Amino acid sequence: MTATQLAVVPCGPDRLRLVRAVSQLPLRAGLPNLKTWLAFQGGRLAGAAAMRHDAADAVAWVAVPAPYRRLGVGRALLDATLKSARNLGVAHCGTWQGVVDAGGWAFCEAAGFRHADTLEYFETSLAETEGFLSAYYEGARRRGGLPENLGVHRDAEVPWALFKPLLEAEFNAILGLRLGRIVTHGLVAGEWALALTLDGAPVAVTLGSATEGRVSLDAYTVAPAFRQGWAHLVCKYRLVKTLLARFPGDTRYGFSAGLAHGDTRTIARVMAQRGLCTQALKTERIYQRDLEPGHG
Amino acid sequence: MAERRFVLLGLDGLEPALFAPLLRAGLMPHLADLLRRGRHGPLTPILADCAPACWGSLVTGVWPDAHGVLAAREADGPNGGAQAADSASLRAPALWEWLAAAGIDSVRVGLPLSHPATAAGGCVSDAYPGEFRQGGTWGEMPPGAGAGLDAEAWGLLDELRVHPQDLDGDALGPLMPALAEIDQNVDRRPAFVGVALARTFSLHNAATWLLEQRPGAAALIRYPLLDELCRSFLAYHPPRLPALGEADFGRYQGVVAGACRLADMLLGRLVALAGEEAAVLLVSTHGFRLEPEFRAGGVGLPDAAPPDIRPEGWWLLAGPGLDAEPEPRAATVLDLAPTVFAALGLAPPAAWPGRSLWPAAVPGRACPQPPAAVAPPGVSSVDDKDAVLLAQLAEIGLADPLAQPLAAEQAAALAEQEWNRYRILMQRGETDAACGVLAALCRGGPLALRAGLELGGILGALGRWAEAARLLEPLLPVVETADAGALRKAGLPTRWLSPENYRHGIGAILARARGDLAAVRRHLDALGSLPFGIPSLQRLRQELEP
Repeated sequence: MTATQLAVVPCGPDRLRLVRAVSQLPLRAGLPNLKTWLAFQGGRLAGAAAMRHDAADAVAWVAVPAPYRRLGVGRALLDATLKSARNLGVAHCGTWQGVVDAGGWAFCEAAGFRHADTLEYFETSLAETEGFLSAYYEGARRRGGLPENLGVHRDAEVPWALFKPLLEAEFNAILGLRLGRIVTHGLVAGEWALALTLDGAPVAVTLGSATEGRVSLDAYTVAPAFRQGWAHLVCKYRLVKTLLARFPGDTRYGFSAGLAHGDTRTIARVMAQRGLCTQALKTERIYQRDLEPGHG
Repeated sequence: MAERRFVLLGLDGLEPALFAPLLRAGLMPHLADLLRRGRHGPLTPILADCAPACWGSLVTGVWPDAHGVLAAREADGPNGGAQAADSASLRAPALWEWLAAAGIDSVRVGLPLSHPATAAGGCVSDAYPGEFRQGGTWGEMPPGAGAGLDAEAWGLLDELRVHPQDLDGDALGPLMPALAEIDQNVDRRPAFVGVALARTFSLHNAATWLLEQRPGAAALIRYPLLDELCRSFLAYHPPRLPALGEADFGRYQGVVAGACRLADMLLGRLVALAGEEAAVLLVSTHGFRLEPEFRAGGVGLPDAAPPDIRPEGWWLLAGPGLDAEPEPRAATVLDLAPTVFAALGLAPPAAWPGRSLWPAAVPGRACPQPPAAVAPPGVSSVDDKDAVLLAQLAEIGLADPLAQPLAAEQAAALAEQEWNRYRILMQRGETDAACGVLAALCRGGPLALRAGLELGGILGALGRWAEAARLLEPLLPVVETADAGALRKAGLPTRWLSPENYRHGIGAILARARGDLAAVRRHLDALGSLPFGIPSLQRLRQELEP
């Protein structure tokens, strides 16, 4: 094959299934600020890229199936996303790569991205998680360390403005892009959010997405003032209990933990030891880079 | 040009039990005036809990299986999964297309199924004023929110939008007198009220502007204010529910009544703008159940589910030459399109099943048939070219990760449509055909359990106990092991029917099929009284009466 046979074309929403199949990303039609591309090599589908953006940040995914690697497909797709991001006035760009594909790390690093975080993914049953946490929760409640007057806010009831400073301080630009969209525009179909307050103060906020039979926790943080003591346990328990009421039955529950989320990793490790949770399903690295004008 | 102006205003949720005390207190003067000089009565809707289907019938004059919108969501052929029904989903010509064919200008504002807007007359779709942003503003003007409007009008519509953040205590105070005491950083409920008000104020601005700009045009308008606020705040409406705290009750008890009064003010403005010679049709396609067990949920409450819809609406018609009738007269939603036609001097098409509520002194003029609507794409297979590419990817082990959930979504949407087709057939009295639809649903899919129980119940109500038992017997083990969550997932109502209720209901029918009347009695006694009637169980109770 020669480079002249390589073509990268923007992809419309009617061909999103091709992007999904190549990238394995759960992209749905109608997602705001989503751009996608397909790469063809010799008439065959050789790669796909997707990008979501706001005014300051973009998250790009580039996927090239193994038979088409080292042919310049990934670079061509990345160039298309970077060019588009620059045209949109985006200042930062991040990309995710799976640890199973160490070649992806080298690709990102060669393209000027830096390793920003590592995420481990776990999966368990929502009901089993609720049962696991309830024992600890009840113990803490008997010891009298838990407040009873937590305010629980669901979805559009979440006072996002109250939580905005916490979210901005806590999350990296990539997750922040999604959070920023939620804070500004609200949730879209398939997303849920839950927040806890105590006497008007923000305690914890979490959000995720849900599909048939599976709930995933995509972001979770507790305000610094509540990180010691009861709050983490209460938040996790109230969260899972509320989710279980909302997504009853045999619902799977997926969550991830970055390098800074030792509490969550500990819970996952203990649950895994008891056979309640999978060991880390997969590990992903987050890469980031600034997008200098004229670069790329 | 029409002989008289016609204004149809949709105020879903306008429930006589809600507004009657306000009328008596003289707090809804414009509605009282129309009642004095017009006719009114209960309205039988079609699929009252599905606004797109019901309003589709209202504006096309035909049943949902004829206009094509059977549910709020439909299969999304190109993308897989399901998508919201929209203006492209209507397969039958709508009122505005008929009116355009008859040379009558029309404007429509905020109607369900109006987005993306199409240009027969002027249209401001229900996507206007846009998506709410958490900062308290509407987002960009949605593409397709308007049609049949010039560029100047489009620009003005942008300016006519009322943003939630623009509403101050003067606007919100009448609905929440204690607003100043509420910490809105934590309690988002005032923001819910603000968004609902701002949406309807924006639509009202657009509607009044269009009425001024296009004199003589028939106007079809819907304000979602009452419907939205009843769904979120009916639990706070007096009398106080036992589970509701006094502080919350005090803060939000006035929201629904305030919304009724506000709706009356908007109605008054529309009537004044339309002029004395205008005919006015006020429509609510459904009400809400006000009994405590049906309205315990809402925003900020442990049960977030909205109150139950009451499948009965209300209509009111007033205009010059129309004699007042104080006694209510029953009508159906299919009567409304013929009413619009008759009031505008047009003869309703013969194919419309409804009858006009407007007495026509002389036969109306015939209206030419509008061009046929283009059928929506429906479920289509993947483009051949993409199918080849997907097959190539499959060879290297790659497949669409959403194929399965999207297929499930599509199956759910299609099942919902078939379920609603069954309901329509039952409403028309076509029981055999309805049972056929249920039987097909029973064979599998997301509503199989619900369809099986429903069909068993129908057969029981018809006294066909053996057939009912054959159907229900295999379902009993499923129901016996199911909790409320599993039943809810299967599409069964669980707010006022517990898993125990379902088990005893099935048990009673199975016992009747065996001829074991003592067991029937035990099951019925265990069921106790339900807040509504179930025909098969009612029949059993009658059989047991001496």
